[in-house]
Amino acid sequence: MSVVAAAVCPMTPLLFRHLSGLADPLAELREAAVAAVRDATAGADEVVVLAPIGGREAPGDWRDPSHSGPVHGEPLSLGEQVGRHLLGLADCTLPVTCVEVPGLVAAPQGVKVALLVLGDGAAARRNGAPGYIDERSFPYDDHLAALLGDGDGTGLTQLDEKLGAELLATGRLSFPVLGSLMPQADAELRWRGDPLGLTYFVALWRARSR
Amino acid sequence: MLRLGRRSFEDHETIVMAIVNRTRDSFYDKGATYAEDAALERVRQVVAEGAGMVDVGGVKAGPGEAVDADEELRRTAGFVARVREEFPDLVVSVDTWRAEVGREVCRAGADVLNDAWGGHDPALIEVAAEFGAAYVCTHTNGATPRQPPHRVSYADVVRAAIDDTVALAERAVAAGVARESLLIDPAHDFEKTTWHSLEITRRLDEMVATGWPVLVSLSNKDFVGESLDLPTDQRLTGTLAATAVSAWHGARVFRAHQIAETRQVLDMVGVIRGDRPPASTTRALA
Repeated sequence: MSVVAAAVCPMTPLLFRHLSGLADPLAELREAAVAAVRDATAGADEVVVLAPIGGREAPGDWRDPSHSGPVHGEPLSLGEQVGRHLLGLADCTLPVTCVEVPGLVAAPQGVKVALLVLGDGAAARRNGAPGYIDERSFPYDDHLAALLGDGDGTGLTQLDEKLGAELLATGRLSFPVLGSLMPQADAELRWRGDPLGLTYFVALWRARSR
Repeated sequence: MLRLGRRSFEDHETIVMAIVNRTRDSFYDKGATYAEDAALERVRQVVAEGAGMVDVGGVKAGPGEAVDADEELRRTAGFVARVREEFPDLVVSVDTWRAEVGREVCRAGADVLNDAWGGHDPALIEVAAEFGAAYVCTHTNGATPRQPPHRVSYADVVRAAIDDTVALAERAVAAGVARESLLIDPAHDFEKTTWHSLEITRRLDEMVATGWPVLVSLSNKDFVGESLDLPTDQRLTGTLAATAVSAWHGARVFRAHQIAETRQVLDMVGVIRGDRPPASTTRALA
């Protein structure tokens, strides 16, 4: 398998436009995520979606609570549904395989693969956040941002999984898999923010030419 | 017939349960009745405004200041005794998930244990049975007390609320709680998105159809705020709309901050439903 690029995107249900009602608080984030998916998949033969499953932050059988939006194959995992939705918004028509992570990723030899990596940072950054306030969130997210911005896949394989679980950070499940597939990459951290007390990242990684 | 401690209520009677928080940080009153004397004054006021019962709480529902059982008891048990003494006929409920707290407040005179975290401490049911107290069976989907919801989903939230609360009620009956002293509460906002709380409200008649009396706790909650894009202190009208819909569907007990307004809405819905006569009708009848 040859990984040519990866898009790192959040897995918040609010990337489904209809779920936030009349308002669209994450419009800019969605736009950045779709652009990263479009850029990562350009020139690839196939897409592999890395969809975290673990804990209440990364449910394996998420269902649309509004019953009013497009169906994405529920009750699949939240990560897979968001991933497929982003690929749709990016008009991607490539073959898609979804892999639950942590787990093994495999694809035929000689195929150019684009990864879509779903995962978030810490969810405990302020009163009202899913994990309330945990001061460890701030250095944890800074560290993630540095690794994603530097294309440091090796660093991603060394994340503190226990801390990530305590901070409800879904990236703890998927980012190490990205790191093992792309130990070094040319990277852009395109978006970072915590508008709802939970850090979202959008990054584009491209395989470093040897 | 619904029996809550020393009081019995007819099948079509609706009851306002006034929130009396002995907390420093609850989301709406923000410590206004933390002091015991202020809380007692609040009880006097809500009784005068038509509350049929009070719900005394010592711990904020959401995350915040840590309150252990000793501190929760310090805030609630003595206060319950004071309320009991001044209002011998008032139904007194205590909002707690801890059996050790339930035991002491029942000794102090509480009539109802409002288990707002849905059986998290299974021994609380035994306490209700032991003291002949009423018990509120709440749907929280197994959440840890004070934990905010996150990416929660249901195949059918109403079905889940019915199944869990009815199972809890049957467990309470088996433990010895009187069948006529049990209420079920779908718990708006608890382990739910706004979409879920709206669906619960829309389909509350399904919960009422179980035959168990339904308690709703709607007052100034986030599902109202998110529906209307309003901050906590501007949600009364939305709360009253949800109150009217719930009353129309047949809910019996309404946990509320604003008592006079809630009572008036319930009386009006009761008249529309035909459960109570109008107060005075002479229009076009002379």
